[in-house]
Amino acid sequence: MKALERHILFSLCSFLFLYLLLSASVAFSGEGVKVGEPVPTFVLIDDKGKPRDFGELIDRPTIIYFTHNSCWYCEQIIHELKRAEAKFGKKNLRIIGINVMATDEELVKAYKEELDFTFPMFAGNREDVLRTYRINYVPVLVFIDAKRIVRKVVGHYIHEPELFKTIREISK
Amino acid sequence: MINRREFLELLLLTSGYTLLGSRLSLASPIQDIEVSEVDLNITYVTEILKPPKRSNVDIWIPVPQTDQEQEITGLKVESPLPYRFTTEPVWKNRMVYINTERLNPGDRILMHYRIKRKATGVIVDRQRDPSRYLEPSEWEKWDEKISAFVDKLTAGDDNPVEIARKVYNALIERLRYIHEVCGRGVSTITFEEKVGRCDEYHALFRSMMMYRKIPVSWEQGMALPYPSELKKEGQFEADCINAHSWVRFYIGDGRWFPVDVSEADRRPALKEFYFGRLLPDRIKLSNGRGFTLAPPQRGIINTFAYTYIEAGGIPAIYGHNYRNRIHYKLIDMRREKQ
Repeated sequence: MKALERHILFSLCSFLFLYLLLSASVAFSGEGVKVGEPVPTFVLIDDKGKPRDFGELIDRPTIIYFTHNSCWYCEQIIHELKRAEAKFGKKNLRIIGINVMATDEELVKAYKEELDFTFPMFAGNREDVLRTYRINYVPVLVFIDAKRIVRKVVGHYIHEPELFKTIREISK
Repeated sequence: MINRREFLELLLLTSGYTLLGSRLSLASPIQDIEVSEVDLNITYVTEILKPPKRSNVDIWIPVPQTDQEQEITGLKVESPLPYRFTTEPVWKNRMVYINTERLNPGDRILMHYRIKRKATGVIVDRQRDPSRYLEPSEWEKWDEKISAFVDKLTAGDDNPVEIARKVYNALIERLRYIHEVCGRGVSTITFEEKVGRCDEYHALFRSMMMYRKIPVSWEQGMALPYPSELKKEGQFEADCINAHSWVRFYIGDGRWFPVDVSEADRRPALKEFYFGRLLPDRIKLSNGRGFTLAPPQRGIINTFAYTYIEAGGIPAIYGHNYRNRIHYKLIDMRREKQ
């Protein structure tokens, strides 16, 4: 019986820990994403089902790319992002995907497999994330410099010259 | 110089116009607001591109229904896979449902029908219970900023039409239309960001009106070209970019008043028109938002205007796994009687 109680207590503590971890926002206390201010980051579920602070990945000029499964334009952008990574180099550019349809790792994993999305991707269908980044539609691309300052937010389809130009700007 | 075929076509069109009087000749300039009905043969195609890697595939395709604004006849489905018609219980939206273990590249499901889409204004529907249209979907809940805005905007007003007109004007003033995005239609974000497409405009319209206890219905479909832009035949992608929504609010005695705020913002010349009337430039495919399909899907869909596919319970990717197209053939176009 005691073993069962311990098991239940451990499960509850694990659940509480996971909940607190997922609820935590890191390095952000403002009303939403703003150009010229530090990027808000969150602990989200990745494609392996692990909660992870995606802010830890922002250690170089970074693009956070918000997308979902119904957006055809978004698929075109993936090809542009791959070409951008090849052009500027992995060491100089980080790309992070957030799928706003996904609530768990299943959809993220399937999306990455289907589209050969080689960048880290997280499940972003969370009210706090969507409100903070003001995601009312996709695609949205958030450009961040190496100092983790938001430099530009593009809320529409982006053409390659504009993408490359903006990457150069956040790389200065 | 025109060739013989063009001459004969022109002759036929001219003869038709002479004989039928109120029908519009394609050769004559068309004023959109004069067109009272478009008559089209539609073929809606869902084509599998790269089948999803996961097995156990579910497909839901919205089926248009006849109502006061459109007449659907000759509905016929061609599918290499077994299908059935289903109806979801909440808003009675109808759909074609397919379940299959796997799909093959090039599988095509075709839906043929003829639509007579009318220009409409206020409709009378005493079967509708207005109280059902006071419940916001999860994307249309309002916050204190929206309620304070509406309080200030409509202080002292009780007439639904007057309140709606103020909200309509305010949204056109406040929001900026953006085309090439797939919207989520979240009112609170739209209010703050001041940008969006039809879903964003109409979600916020609903929120503001429902806050004032005025019932508002959500109508969802696909945008057709404007009558003046219709060709004899044409096709377009039936995806989130061409999906279109509009709304009707309740003015009492079974009467529902239409508005299309986003189109009014896009086409300022039609701002007066779109407060109370709709052009026949749309196909209605469903009512309501955020409902559960039949049989239930696993993912969340906030509107149902085009084919939705899941594989193993995971939404398929539009443009990668599948795509939809609408082919139309113009049969006739009528204008209002003078």
